[in-house]
Amino acid sequence: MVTALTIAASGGVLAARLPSARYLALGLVVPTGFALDAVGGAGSAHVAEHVATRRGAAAVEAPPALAAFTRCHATVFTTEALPEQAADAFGALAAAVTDAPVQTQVLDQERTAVRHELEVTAAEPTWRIGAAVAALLAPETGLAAEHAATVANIGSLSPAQVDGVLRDGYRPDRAVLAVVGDLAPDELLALAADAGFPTDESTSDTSPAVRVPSPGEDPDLPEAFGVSFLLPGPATGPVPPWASAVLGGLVNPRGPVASAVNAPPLAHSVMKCRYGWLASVVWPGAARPVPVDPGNRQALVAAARKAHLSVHDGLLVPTQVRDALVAQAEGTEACLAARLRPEFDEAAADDLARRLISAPNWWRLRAGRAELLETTR
Amino acid sequence: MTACPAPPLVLPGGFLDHPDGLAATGALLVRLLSGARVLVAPHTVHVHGHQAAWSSANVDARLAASLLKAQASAAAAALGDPAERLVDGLERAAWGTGVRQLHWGDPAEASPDEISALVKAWAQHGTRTPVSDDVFVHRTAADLPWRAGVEVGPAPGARVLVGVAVPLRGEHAVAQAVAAAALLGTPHVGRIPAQLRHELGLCYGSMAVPLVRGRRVALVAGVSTTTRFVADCALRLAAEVRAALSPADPQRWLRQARLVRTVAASRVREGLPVDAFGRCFLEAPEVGDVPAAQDAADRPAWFAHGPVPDAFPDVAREAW
Repeated sequence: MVTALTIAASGGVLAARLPSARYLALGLVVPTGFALDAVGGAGSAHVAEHVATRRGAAAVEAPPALAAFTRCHATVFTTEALPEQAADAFGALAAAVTDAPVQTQVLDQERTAVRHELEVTAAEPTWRIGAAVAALLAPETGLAAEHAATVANIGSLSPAQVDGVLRDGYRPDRAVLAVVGDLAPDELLALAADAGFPTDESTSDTSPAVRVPSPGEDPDLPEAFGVSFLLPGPATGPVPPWASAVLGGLVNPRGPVASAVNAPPLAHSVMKCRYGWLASVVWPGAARPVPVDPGNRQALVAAARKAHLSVHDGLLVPTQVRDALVAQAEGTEACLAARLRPEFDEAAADDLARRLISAPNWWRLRAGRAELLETTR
Repeated sequence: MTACPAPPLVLPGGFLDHPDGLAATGALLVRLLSGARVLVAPHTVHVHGHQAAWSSANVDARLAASLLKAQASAAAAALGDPAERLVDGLERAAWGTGVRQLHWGDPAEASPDEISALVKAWAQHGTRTPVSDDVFVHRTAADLPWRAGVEVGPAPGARVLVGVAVPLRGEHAVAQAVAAAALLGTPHVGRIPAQLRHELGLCYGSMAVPLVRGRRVALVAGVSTTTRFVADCALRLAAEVRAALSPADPQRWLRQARLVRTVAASRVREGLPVDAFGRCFLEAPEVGDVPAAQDAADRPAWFAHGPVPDAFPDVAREAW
C-alpha cells in the first residue's frame, strides 16, 4: 500500500494531506530542551514543558489531550482532534506558546510532578546507559544531558530559570507547527495562520542554541558493556534519507554486531539528536571487544534498501505522518520529502555501512561512568 | 499467490469466538503464512497484503510449538507496558479472570491439530472489507460474578500502579462508563491528572477507561506513583471516580471518547498496534445517549502492583 501524501511548508508550519485521515494530528516543536538548560538549572526545560501543557489545557473550553516530551534540543507537544474539535486543538497549542511568567504555585506543582517522573525512571538503570555512553562518545550532541536533572537538584529550580526558557523558546515565531489531516495543505496552513502561527517568512530562526553539556557520574549505573556507532546528525550537514535504516540494521539484535557476541543483548537503540546519531548494543556484565564480520555488509545494505523503499508503508495514519514531520522539525531525522523519494544509492549506502562497521566504539560501564575499551580495528 | 496488493482483509471472529488460548496463536500463524502484518484486535484479526493460500495450510508440530512459544512471549511482552498491566490486573481483581487469561490462554492447552482446525475455520468464513467500527465490540462474554476486594502484586522498580474498578449496571452502563472515563482522563488531560498530578503532586502517569465484557461493564481508573503516595492516591482516586459517575456535561465527554475511538480505530484499520487506552474505548460499543447518573452497582475492586505498602488493603477498603 502506498500512502498518497501531499506535503507543504510555509513559514513555521509544515502541513500534509493524508486522504484517509478521519481526524487531525498536530505537533508543535519548540526550540528548547534539556541540553539547553542553563548551568545550575537542570530540569528547567522539562518544567517549562509542564507549565506550557497546563496553559494549553486551560486556554480552551474542551481541551484536547496534549502529550508533551522534552528532548535534548527540542520540546514537542502533540495532540489529535476530530474535525469539529480543530479550533480547540489549534487554540490549545497556540496557548502553550506564550512566554508569560510562571506563577510560584504552578512552578511548585510542576516541579513535584517532574520529581515523581524522575523518581520512577531513576529505578530503571537501562534508561540511563545511553546518556552515559553519549557523555563518553558524543558529548557535543546533547544526548548526554538527558539525565542532568535529578530528584535531588530539581527542587532548587527557580522561577527565573523557568521563565528564561519560556521567554526564549515559547514564541509562535520560533516554533514549528506540524498539521496532518484530510484537508488540502493550503487549508491546513490557513487554520494554523488563524490560530496565530506565522505562515509567512517573518518567522525567526527556529534553530536552538547549542550548549555542550557537562556529563556527571551516575553511581547507579549497572555493570555493562557494549558497542556504539556514531553519525553526524541533520544539523551538521545533509543526512542520506536511508542512513537511519543502515544504523538501525547495524544494532538490530539479529544484525551483524549483536550476532558477533555470543550472548543476548540487554538493549539496543538508536539515539537521535540534531547534532548526531548514536547507535548502540548493550550487554550485561563485563567483556572484551569482538571483531565484527564485514561480510554481513551486503545483507545490511539490502535491509536498509528495503526499509527505505517502504517508508511510504509506514505512514498510514495521521499520527505517523505528524511524528515524521515533527522529527524533521526537531532536526532528528532527514527531511520527510527526501525520505519519500524512491532513489536508493546502493554504493553510498554500502560505503556508509563499511565506514560504520570499521569504526566500532567498544565501551564498558564502571564506577558510574562509561570508558572506552581497546578497539578491534 | 498474487503479486497485487490486496485490500485490507478482515477475518471474522477474535479471541472471544475461538477456543481458549487459540486466537492469538492463530493470528501468529496467519502472519507467518501470509508474510504480512497482523494484529490481534479485541474482536478481529486484520491482515494486510495477504498473499498466501493459507486456507489449506497444515501445521506441523514443530511450527505449532514455535508459534505457541511466540504467543507466550507476546503476551508477556504486552504486560511489560504499565497501562496493559493495570487493565489486566483490575480485570482479574474484579472478575477473577481477565481476557488475557481466558482467551490468550495457557500455551500448553493447544495442540497442532487444534491450531490447524482454527486456521481452516477462519478461512472458511471468507473475508470482508472494509473494516467497520462495530467489529471491535465484544458480542459475548461469560457472566462472571463481581469480586469486590483488593489484589496486590509485586513488581521490580520504584513504580507502583494503583487502580480501582467500579461495576456499573443498567441500560446506560456503557455510556456512563465511557463518559466518566473520558472525563477522568486521557493520560494527559482530565480530572485525575488535574487533581492528583498537578494540584496534589501525588502521581505521574494516569489512565481511565471503560471496561466492557459483554453484559459486564466497569469503569476503571489508575495512576502510576511511588510507594509513599499510594495511600493518598487511593483516597483521591476513589473520590474522583465517585464524582465522575455524575458528570456535569456528559455529551462533551462522549464526544471526547469518540475522538479516542476514532484515533484507535484508524490504527486498527491499518493493521497497527493499539495501546490499552485506545483499545478499551474500542471494546465499548459506540453510544450516543446521555448517560443517566447512577451510583456504582457494587463495591469496587482494587489493584496495586509494585512496592506496595503493607497497609494498602486496609486503606483501599476504607477509601471505598
